[in-house]
Amino acid sequence: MGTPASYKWLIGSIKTEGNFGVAMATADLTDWYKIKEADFSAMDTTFESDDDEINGYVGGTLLTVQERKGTMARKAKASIELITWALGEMLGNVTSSGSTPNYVQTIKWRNVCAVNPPSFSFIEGEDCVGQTATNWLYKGCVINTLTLEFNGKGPGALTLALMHDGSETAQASVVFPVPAAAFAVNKLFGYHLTTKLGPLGTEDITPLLRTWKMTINSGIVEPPSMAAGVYVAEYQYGPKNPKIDIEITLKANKGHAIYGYYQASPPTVLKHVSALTINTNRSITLTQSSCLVTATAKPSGNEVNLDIKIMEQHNATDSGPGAFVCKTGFANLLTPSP
Amino acid sequence: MAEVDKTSAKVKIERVAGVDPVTQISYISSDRPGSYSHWAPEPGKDGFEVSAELATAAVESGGFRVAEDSRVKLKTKERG
Repeated sequence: MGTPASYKWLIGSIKTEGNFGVAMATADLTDWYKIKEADFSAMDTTFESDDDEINGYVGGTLLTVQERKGTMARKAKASIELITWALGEMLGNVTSSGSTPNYVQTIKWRNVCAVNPPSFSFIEGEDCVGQTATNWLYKGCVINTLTLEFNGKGPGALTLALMHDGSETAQASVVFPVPAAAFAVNKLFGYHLTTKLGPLGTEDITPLLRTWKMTINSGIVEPPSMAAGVYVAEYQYGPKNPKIDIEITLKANKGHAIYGYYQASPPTVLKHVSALTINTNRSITLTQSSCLVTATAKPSGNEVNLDIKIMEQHNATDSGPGAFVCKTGFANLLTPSP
Repeated sequence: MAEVDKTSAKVKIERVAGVDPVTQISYISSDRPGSYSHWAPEPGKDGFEVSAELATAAVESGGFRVAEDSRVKLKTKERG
């Protein structure tokens, strides 16, 4: 028997599909990132029924598979490596620089001429004796939403919602890494986060942070397609997507300067910089050079909190509503495979 | 400056000294409209002859500039 605890998935951290739905080489799918739950990929099949046609008698209904597509979720403790991989796969616009072992990925918003997000393949299965029939390869995968959340000093929670093209290919011969060989990551905790928010972008509000949450949504759409076969032929970014939302809870009240920035008429344009730093060579920094905020006061136990929402503003400095600088050990991202 | 034929014209670019060497760039090419292509410049090499599309992305990355002896120059982006 396999078990949920034996569930493993393999990706290629620095690789991507050269063309949508063309499976990556299995030799490139070797990186096993630990996740919290065995979220098996789900298949969504659309059946066409002939029950709306008059056929002269009440007979058996004919069901035909019209389309297959799939979804899956990934819940993991936040790490620099998994977040950087996900940001690269979502936004696609990556410039890598630096030299071994300290590389830097600058990830900006998608180019206005980019219609399709990058896609990737992965393998999942139950790594138990005799369970090779549970090993399947999924391709044409894209990331629809990314949520990163910190609450106090605890580990960050990373949640990804993914979609695949609906195909499943058996991978009986895949060998999963042994338990000790999970991909080495730099885990991120609440105490790794610093946030600056104000007209200059240097106003440090870190000591007041209670919670911090970032959501990036690609608004993935599947355009109608008549391509051969029943699988998804193409995923596209939704119009005016990806979008980024930052929600911060702050130990502050209506007397705080940030409330004043929201209150001002017109509201004050701010700069937001949030950095997750392990050390000088391993970090992720989000810069939003131009943004507005909303602020709502609420009671929380014995203190007053401000719920702050950062409203994105596309700007020339960031070539979008924000830009990420990720310092990782990855020389590149999105290298086509095979 | 003359318009360049973005599909065939080759632009000579070179690495900008003193900047961290760029190891890979994403760009939109006419070979794969709508999707990203990725270019990894050969490490240790400073000069490259590339398409105008790639040259534009390379220059925007800050890690490259158009070589002075490049026969084809890039049209400067006008911002409104």
